[in-house]
Amino acid sequence: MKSNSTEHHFTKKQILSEEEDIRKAKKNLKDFEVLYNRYYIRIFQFIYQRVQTENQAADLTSETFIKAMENLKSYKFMGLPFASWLFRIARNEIYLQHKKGNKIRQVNFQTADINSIAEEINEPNNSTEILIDAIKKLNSSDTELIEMKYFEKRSYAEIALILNSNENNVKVKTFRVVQKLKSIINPSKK
Amino acid sequence: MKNSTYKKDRSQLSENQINNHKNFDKTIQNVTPKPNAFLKSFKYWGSGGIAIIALVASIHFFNTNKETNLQQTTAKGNFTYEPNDELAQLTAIKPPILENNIPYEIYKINASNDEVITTKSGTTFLIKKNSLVDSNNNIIEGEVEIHYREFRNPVDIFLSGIPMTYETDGIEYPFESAGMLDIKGFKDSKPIQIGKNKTIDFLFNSTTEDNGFDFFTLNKETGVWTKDNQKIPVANYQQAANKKQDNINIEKPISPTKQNKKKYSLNLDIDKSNFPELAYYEGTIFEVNETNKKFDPIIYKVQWQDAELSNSKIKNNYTLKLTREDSSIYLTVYPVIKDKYYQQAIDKYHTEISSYKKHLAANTDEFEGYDNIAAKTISQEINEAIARNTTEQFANNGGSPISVRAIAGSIVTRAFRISSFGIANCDMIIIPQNQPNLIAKQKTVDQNGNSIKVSNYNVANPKKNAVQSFVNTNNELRYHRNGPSVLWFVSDNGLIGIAYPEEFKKIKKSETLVFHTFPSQKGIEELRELMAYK
Repeated sequence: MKSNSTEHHFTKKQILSEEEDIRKAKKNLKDFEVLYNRYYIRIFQFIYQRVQTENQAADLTSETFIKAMENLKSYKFMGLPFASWLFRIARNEIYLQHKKGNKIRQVNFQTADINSIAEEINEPNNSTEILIDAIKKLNSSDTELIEMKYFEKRSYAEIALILNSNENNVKVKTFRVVQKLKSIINPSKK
Repeated sequence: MKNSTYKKDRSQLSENQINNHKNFDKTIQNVTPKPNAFLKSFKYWGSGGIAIIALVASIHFFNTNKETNLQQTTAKGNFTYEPNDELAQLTAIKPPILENNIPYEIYKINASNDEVITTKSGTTFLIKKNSLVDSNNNIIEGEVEIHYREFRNPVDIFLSGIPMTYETDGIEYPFESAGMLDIKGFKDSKPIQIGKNKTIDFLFNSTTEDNGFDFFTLNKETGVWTKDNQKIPVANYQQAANKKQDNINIEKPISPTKQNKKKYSLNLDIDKSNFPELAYYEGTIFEVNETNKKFDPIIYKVQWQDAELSNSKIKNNYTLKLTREDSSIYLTVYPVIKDKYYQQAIDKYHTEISSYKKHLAANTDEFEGYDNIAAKTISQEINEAIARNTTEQFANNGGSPISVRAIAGSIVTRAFRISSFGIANCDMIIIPQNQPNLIAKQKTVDQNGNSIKVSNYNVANPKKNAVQSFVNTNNELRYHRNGPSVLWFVSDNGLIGIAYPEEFKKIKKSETLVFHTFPSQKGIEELRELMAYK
């Protein structure tokens, strides 16, 4: 899945207009459909990237929107895109499924994505398997950063939005994860 | 990442394929009304493993006696501690043991001047002139009081009674803090505010080096934290201090002392190449230090063959050896400026000291070279304010802000601005990663086996600057056996009961967890010891 780099850019006007949509949905849940239609594909793609099957993605996407609607009244508009909140619910749903043990967390990637990491860490000659083995040694939050930055090609701004962090922090953390990968692959260069 | 599969080159789904799953009507049918907002499922903390609990999470507050019998502490330096009973009146902040609430440091400043304060912890902040206003938005002039306190560890946070959770997407997450502060101002005992478009700039001495913390401010009435979009860079001031050390050879100008004509003085013709500091001001002579108890003015009538000057053990004093054929005497003397040269010397001193301070400030700027413009500006403004001879107050009885920070023990500084008085926090949400792996039936007993009725508990991970409170309603504890958690309670009669991390490791399912009980003061000391925070 390749992220459209413009998707996460929300103008102030768009965000404020979205606040109006949220306000309406809080009054009448049926009005949530506007938000549902706006974000369904993005949330589905986000989840599908992290699970094994299409049906699992469909179920979790559905759960995500159910949770969003159930908790909409407690949602506080803080000037951030509504998508940010949906992504966090989706992450939480994936996490819960994974922890319950009845669904396997899957990391999906394309061979070309691995090549781009190899270039990033200046180890272009390493095989895909070596890199994947190194990624497997990362913890879940580090893996998530690699997944979003290199497998899904998300911008730092979009990752920050999903992680409820700021762009600078995401950049720094991603840099550290890349350094970590380097040292796993080549401990002598540490 | 454990328990995961890695799949290569899986085909992507088209938008049409995804849309086949889309069904809003079916989704909305599965929405069930949210239960009472006070009913929450159990929570647990991070990979480090913190025990926590299934509960009804109406935020608990310990019942405390509002009458205070507090001991006021006055520390060295230009500040005092204020016992804090005001918070007991507020709805969201309830210190569990009122007499052990974290006190304020009080600083008196002139609101018409730029004022820099370095607190006991080493945090430095700049209040610019004319930036404080009264309730009618009128700029305040003259003396005001600034009340300031910090919460730097889980025990401080616990004692403050400040809620440390952040609600987002309908879920309440605990906060890990890199340092929290509470600041307010008063003019003639009436609360004052920071004016519109004005800020107080902070170089905050922080307890953790991680730079993933965001900035939040608290609504004291509702207990709701609001995230500020301010980016907070972290600087290592130890490096800055080392840089300062490199510049130690810079001579600090000595302030001129005016001659006191009632004292004995000597006019010496000295080789100023050996004492460049004495060549600094024109009209320098020497007064006889009053410590020379055997001084006899008859020396003025003696024909001395030689006079030799050397540095004295007393700061800014010299030893003068006067010699003639058959004897020598030693006098302690210090330089003073003759009346008619004094004003000229003072003018020179002001010019030189300003240049000296600017030079030092330029070489101790922690945020020099950082990309964050706001942080650089804050750092520069504070250092320049110090350089301008701004009144500067130190809680630790002197020393540069950097040296105070070093004494306080942390090694990093966070730069930020506040635009209103109140409680602010550098926080990070703790995302749950591991479920608790054990459940034990809870029966609270002390070390003698006596049952203790406890309804409220606190839990902290010493490795994280975080503490969470919960209400125990079903006598069931969920926890990580190997987690480093410290669990404690305050009983109705003021005892503190502590369960130690090693006891978590021993306990088996449905066993009773033993708490060790202490009188409150001793219990707090024990908690601080346990979490390695003094």
